[in-house]
Amino acid sequence: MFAYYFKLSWLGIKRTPMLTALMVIAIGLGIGVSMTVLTVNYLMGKDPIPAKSHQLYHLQLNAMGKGPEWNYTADGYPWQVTYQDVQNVHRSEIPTRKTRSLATGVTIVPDNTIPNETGATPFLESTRAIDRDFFAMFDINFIFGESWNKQVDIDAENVAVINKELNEKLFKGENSIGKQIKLNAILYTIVGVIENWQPTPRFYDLNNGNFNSTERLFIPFSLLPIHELPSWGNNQGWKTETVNTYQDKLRSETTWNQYWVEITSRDQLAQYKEWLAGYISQQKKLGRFQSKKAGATLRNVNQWMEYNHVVSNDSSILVGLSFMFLAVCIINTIGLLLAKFLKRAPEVGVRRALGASRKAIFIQHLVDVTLIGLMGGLLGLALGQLGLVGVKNLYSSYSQLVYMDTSLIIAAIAISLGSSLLAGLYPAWLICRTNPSVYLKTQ
Amino acid sequence: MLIMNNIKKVFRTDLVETHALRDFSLEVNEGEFVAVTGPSGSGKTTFLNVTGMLETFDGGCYTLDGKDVSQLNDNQRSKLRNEKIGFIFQSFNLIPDLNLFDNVDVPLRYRGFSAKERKSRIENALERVGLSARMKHLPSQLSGGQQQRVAIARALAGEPRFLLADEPTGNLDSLMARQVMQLLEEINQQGTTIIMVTHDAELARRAQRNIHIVDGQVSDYQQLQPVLDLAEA
Amino acid sequence: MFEVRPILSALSRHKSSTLLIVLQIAITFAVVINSTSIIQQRVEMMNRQSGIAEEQLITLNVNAFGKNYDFESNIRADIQMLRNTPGIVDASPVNQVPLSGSSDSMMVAASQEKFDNFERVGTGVFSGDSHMLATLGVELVEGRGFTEDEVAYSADRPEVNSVIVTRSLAAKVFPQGNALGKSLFYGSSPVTIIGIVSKVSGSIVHEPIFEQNLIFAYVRLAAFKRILIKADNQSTADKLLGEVEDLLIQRNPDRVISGITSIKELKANSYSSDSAMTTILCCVAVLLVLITALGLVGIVSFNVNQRVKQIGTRRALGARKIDILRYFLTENILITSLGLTIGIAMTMTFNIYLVEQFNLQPISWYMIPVGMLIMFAIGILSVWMPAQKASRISPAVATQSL
Repeated sequence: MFAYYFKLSWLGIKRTPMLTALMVIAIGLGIGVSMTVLTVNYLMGKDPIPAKSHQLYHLQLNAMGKGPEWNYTADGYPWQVTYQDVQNVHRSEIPTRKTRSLATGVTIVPDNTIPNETGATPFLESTRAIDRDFFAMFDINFIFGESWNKQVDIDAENVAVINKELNEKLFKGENSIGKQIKLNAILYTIVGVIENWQPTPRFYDLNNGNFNSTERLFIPFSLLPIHELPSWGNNQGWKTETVNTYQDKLRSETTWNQYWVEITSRDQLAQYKEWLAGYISQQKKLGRFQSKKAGATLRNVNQWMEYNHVVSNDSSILVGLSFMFLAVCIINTIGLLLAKFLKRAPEVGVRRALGASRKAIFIQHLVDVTLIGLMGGLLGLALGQLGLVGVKNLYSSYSQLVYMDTSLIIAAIAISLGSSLLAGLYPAWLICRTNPSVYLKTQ
Repeated sequence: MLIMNNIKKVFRTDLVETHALRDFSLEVNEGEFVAVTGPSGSGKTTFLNVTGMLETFDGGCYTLDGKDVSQLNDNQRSKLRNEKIGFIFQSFNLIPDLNLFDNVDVPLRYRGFSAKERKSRIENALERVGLSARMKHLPSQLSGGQQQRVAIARALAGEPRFLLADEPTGNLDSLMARQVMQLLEEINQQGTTIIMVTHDAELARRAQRNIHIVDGQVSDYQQLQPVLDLAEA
Repeated sequence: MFEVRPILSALSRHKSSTLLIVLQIAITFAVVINSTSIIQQRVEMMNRQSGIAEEQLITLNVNAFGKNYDFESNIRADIQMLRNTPGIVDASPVNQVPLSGSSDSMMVAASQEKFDNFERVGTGVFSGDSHMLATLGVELVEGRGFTEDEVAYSADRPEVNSVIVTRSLAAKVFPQGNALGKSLFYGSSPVTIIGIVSKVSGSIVHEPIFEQNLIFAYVRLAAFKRILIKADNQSTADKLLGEVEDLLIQRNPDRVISGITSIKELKANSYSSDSAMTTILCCVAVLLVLITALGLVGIVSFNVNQRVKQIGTRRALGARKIDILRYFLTENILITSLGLTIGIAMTMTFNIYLVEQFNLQPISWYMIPVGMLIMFAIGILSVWMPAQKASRISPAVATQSL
């Protein structure tokens, strides 16, 4: 019987090509626009590390003194932490894993003294200074070697982990463990090569572009005071203090480092919070953490993304607008369907007289609507792809972001079928309820 | 066997209440050819619509082949209509987008016959009305008389026991009207019960039984006959 | 307008389809007006004057890595060489670049007391040599620029005595005016305002203190140096983008040149999310209006087809073509009016939500009447064709059976 309904539907489409085209275009545009916007929004806010997002916590400390509060964030906590705090909290053995983190950069210099020729001209490389646990915490896989050993986090050594891409560039993809590279004027030994790793959004550092590329080079955080690694990220302070030298900065209240911990149980979390509270009261005695809002906050990955408004206001506004857009398209389609079905009322009268039940008429018209919805959905998918290409051109930083995965394509089809069925429900109901005899007497 | 007892049908709008059928009672036996006459607005068409279960009624009892129609839901009524009743209309009511084959196919589809069964029934029905050669034509390519014959074929394809005809010759010239009437008589002779609403007294006379409806009720035909004859003269 | 009553009664008999069009017009209005309002605000922001010679400016970073690299002599030599290069008007080492998205900022106050009481004002901090103002191409409105003697070359932040501020900062710190010659306090020893420039764009375009900036005569000696170059015109600037790296590397190969960009490009990047939003909203608004207009065309055409006989009868009874046309136009105006009435309420509600939730500016009042006029025009345009068709229906159809 469905085949028969599809045949009738097809005949109907041929009979009213303009009306059908209008409906398909309306649904198509509605789906196209809302899918484009939804895709961007969904990919912006999607959990970048679902397996561990609830175990990884980002630490914020409010070490401010008396006086005005930090007004950049809603809760008055700076995004980053000071070097002295990061050093102090790193002593706690409670977290399963923990890492200090800083965005920095080096010049990779070719050097004839290195047995393997590494590129002809020197180039700048953004670099992340971290602790050994970083890779395990964020589920980063090694191709060759492994992270440096725990001792390096205390007694700094000139070692480095590079990613596959940089390994291709420097060592033509060979196993480069034990080989050396010259960063600024210093030789580093490669201890590990990781897979290319690009979480979207780049949740582990939301201070330096949420959708930027990840670093390709990782070195121990413990090298900071030794090589005076510069900050390539934000440095924000609140205190009036003289910060002339790098050593001044290490002792200062400037917030420029980041800190992540991995905590696997509720008890552990409670224990760690208690430890932090103890740390803060100890620091209070030393004259720090004097603000009314002084304290520590831990946010897991998703909370941290929300706190940083990873999904931009613009994107949220657009989602709202696109749903209103879709609503207009649906309303538009309801109107056109009413017209189309009304035109068909005499035929429905005949069918009823010839033995079609209301249910049969209702289903026939829903099939009709489904077919239109399907065509609209396909058009919408095509328009959505076009829209995403457009978005890609508009926002250079989103290029990683804009693609439709299977679940989004299924969502697009589902939304188009859903909305066309929604649009068709009332007209189909209306037409199946009409009294057939009205249309039989005269035409 | 069709039995109506004290059927009432009232149409209501905000301003008026029209009693289309009032205490309407009638029995039609198997194989009869009944002509229904009456002035316009007397309730002829309402009677036919109630008989064909296109409209519900507000009171009384209607039994079709032993089934109490008021107890049936829409689905069951549709099924009953599909199996037992064929309709033909004054304006033919063929579906303009469907060719003759597909038009005749409509009731068979709702009956749920197999494709093979439908095909043979459609061909037989069109054969019977002499239009099997034009199966692929659209209704608009036919004359009025031919269209009505297709409508008759469509009504007969499901082999209904009752054929309900609403002014079947009303839109036809006299030659074509006579042909259609002959066809109906043939069908009746083969055993199908026919109930035909008409305002044409000559046609009515060709039926076995005449029922005259006045003001929503069956009137005594014998008494009124002279008046009717007078009116025509 | 005559004939309103029969139209109203006809509309009330088709409640659901009338309601649908009304609703469609209402939502369309709400979306279009709010989108236009956002577009207008963004365009206004993007068109702000930057106060600098943005089209002639390019910037780059010098990253030294050589062991015996002398910071001061190298930066002086680089700048000297650039200034002598044909096509380059001027050059200066800088700590930050306007419109670049990465900023250096601090808090200042009009007195030490105010500073201690946290009555401070945020400001962007620029520093460079004596050619900084000329390189930026800013207009000095009061006082004087820096002399070369005043410029401190130092690895650590030096004590400076003088500062140049933008008019915007001066007005914020000294609302009474006469900022020239006054002192700014920021923790260490105060600095005297020796000059006021009309405007210098800050680095981060979405910050409220975007136009509050001050300039120090200070060149920080470090391995990483930013340089700002002013070319004599835009095409020279574009050409320099490809040549300047070689110039600097030839002079001294012990460094990496990075981040060679024009200010034009930095500006475009800084505003990219706004221009993207503007484009997307434009598309949304235009498509929505198009859909609504097409929907109207569809519905009215359908109604005309349904009422052919009725229209023919009217014509037969003496209605002129213009009467038929007027009937459909009046009907449309009635529907649009109803839609817009609801639409205005929806627009306001939606706008209040946007303002509260996302800190947007409220819509300007005049957008409502202008938007209404446009919606009426679109409505009339959409029904014009089908209504024309209706008016051409022959009175003869009244007597034809269909």
